[in-house]
Amino acid sequence: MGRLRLDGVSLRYPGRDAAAVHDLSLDVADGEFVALVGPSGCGKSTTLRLVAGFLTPDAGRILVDDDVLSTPDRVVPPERRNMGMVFQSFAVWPHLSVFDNVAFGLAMRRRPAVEVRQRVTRMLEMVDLAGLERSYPSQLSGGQQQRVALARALVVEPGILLLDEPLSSLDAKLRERMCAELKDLQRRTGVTFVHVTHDQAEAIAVADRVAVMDRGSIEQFGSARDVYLHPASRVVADAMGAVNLASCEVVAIDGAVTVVRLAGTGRELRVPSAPAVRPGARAIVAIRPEDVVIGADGLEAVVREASFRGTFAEHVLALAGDEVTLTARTLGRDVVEAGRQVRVSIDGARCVLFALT
Amino acid sequence: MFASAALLFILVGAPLVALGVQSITVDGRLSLEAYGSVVGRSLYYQSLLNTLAVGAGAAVLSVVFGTPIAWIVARTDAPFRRVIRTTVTAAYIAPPFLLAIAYVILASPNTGALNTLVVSLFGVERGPFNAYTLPALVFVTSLHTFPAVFLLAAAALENTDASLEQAARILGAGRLRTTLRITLPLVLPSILGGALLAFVSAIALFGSQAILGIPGRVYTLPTRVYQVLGYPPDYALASALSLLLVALTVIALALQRRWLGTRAAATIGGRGASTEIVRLGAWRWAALAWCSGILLVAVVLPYAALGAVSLLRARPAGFVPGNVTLENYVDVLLRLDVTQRAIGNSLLLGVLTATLTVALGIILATIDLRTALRGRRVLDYLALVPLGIPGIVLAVAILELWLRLPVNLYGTLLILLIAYVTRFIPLAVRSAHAALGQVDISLEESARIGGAGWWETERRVTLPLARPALLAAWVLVFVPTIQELSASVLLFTPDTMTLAVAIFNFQDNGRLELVSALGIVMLVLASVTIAIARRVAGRPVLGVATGAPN
Repeated sequence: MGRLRLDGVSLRYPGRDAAAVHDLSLDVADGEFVALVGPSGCGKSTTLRLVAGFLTPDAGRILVDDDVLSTPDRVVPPERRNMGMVFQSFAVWPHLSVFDNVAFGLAMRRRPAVEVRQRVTRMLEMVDLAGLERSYPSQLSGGQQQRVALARALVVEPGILLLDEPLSSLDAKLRERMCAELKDLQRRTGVTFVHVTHDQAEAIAVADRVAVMDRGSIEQFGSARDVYLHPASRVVADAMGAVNLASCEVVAIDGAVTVVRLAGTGRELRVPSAPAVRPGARAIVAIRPEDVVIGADGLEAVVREASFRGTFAEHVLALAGDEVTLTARTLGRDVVEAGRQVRVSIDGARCVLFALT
Repeated sequence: MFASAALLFILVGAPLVALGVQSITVDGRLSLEAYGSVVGRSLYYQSLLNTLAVGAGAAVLSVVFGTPIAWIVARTDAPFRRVIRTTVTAAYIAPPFLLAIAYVILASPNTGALNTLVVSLFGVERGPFNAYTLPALVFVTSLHTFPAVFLLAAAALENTDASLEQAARILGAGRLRTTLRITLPLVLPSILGGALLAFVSAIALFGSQAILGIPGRVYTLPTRVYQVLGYPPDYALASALSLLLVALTVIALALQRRWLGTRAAATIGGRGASTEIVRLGAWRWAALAWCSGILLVAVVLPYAALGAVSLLRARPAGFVPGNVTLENYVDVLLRLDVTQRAIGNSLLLGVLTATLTVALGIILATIDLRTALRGRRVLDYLALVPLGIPGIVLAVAILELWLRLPVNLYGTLLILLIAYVTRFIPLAVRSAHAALGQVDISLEESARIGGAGWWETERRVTLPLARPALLAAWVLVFVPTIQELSASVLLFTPDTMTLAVAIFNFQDNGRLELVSALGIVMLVLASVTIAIARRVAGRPVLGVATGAPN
């Protein structure tokens, strides 16, 4: 079983001012696939290493099911946590064959040889490496080494699998395929996966729930859809893909709807209300580029730059003279040339409002 | 290209050919007599066994001493790690024959300082130490060679990706099992490679073997070669013994290359996170004690002994009023013709050797890195051949080559220069290669595209960028050159006396006070050079020194 709970965990590296992880709480259900996402230095890898038992928290507790694994006073060592881990560098042992790499954890658990052979063979089939038992890592491609690392971590049937940027050293195409395979593997094994990545698209693709981290804390924890469509803060909105953060003035609040005026344009938008936003105050409205629609009516704008990216195209639009710029995304085939006069409309219902802090 | 190939052949290839020819020539006829003696006569056979014992013993002790220190320095939070690392590196650079002389001062059977100390403390009749034995020779040799294991093992431990070990931890292996099953196999090739390097450097150390071995009649191949070239010289036998020594060296180097090139060694490093530091707690002090213990016997005690004796009028009297003096320094620096000449010769030869080898290194490295000439790999290999030739063997080969040629170079500084340049070509070529290899070719290409010609580019871009590393290469050759003994000892004449030979001859005559003073002068010269170079280069110039002087 593998319900993972972090309860007010903090860690500060010696000699640093800011805490790497600050009062962090997280509750991951058994069998869930969770991604920790955030910019480098946000504390996501540190969190993973705390869970693995390589680091001792300064405060808080880490529990799996009902067992307390880490407190500031006592840390169950990594080897007694029954977890698996996949590293960014794969960490496949170069001096052991594929079979011996995968069998290592079972040998440590003193399983009988027959059982070891069966389980390793089955696991290698599962990750599509059957027949490569006798090979050495130096003879394998990056993707194959990745699978060895996965098989090695999963063959011991860990309660929790920790993945530290496991896909970032693969090329783009392979990364996409491995995303799908990871998800599939997680479904088939039912193991709890905690996946750390700086790539929001990867997090969205693999995880049931995404925890967005910033400066050592979790900003938002929810389904990928939720976190993308309803970010709880500017930081989350910014971390989860491209976004326009436009300055605005709050005109009126009418229950669930707030009327704001986009700075510089005078155009009013009806957007979902947000806490701590007062009438007359200035605020920030987050607009995804795909919600800025270039069409027949709306505000006058000039296309300053247009970049064609294949499936989509991105446009930098100047509104109200040059006072406001917005990024708009269209399908690639609908790309508009730079220099053209266009009209844009914004679907207020899809925008998210944040108080200025 | 052809000029450098020809030069390399004259320096490296021709002497070896002469050696081979000489070994099968007896009284002008072809004969395998010399090889018959080597195999058949027990005194030569015994010297082979002693050589193997010195090499193997020093290799094993080097692993025993060097590996724990490497682990402590690379992987723990033991105190004074930086000081320990610097001191171990210094132990590798210091000339091994001084260490042997220091152990004569400390542990010669009757007058050795440690023996007289034991006698006066415990009232026994005789002290327990005897420097003139095979075990003592092995021990003192290992004090010079263990840094080879240390340097390679420490580098491997530092470059091992921490996640390789963490992966084992999380799969259920404790610290100890992770160390035994993962870390050790990963760094083992480096440890073994270091052990073989220790073996190679140990069997070639003529100085230590002569100073500690000959008085106790413990002969080795180098000291036998030296002996059979006494009057009347037996060139055939000396050549056969020399080639045997070359064979041992080449086999060990080939094994070393193979082990260091294995799968495991090739793949450590990579994208890895930094390594994990083990917190030792109270064991930090045990770790410090281990390191200090070894450095005490390898560095502190011997050089303190040399320093102390250099200040004494007569060694046996010890530190009593009237016996303490600076006379020895005045003698070696100002009064004695022979030492002044030796210092001058060594400095001159040092400057010439370092300059010539580094220049040659730059040329060879440029050919290899920046041209597509066919056969450039051969040049590289040829330049490494001297690694397989112990100093005394090289001297024998050069003697035999130049005795056959109409020009008589024996007795000139030129023959010493030829020997030194040949010996230190590998060191210079590898350093120059590394130095120029750091300069990315795109930097040169931008100069060319910006209008600079080939020479302008070299002069204004490549060489300035490589300058600190080239300066380091220069020092790396200069320091062992002024300490060179094992080739010089066969090639010198009173006029061409060198520093190391002067020290060797004085100790042979038992004048340890002068020897100590001259030894200290030699260490000061080396240290000052290193310090100046460090200042000019703006960074440490001696990282890993792989060519052991002897």
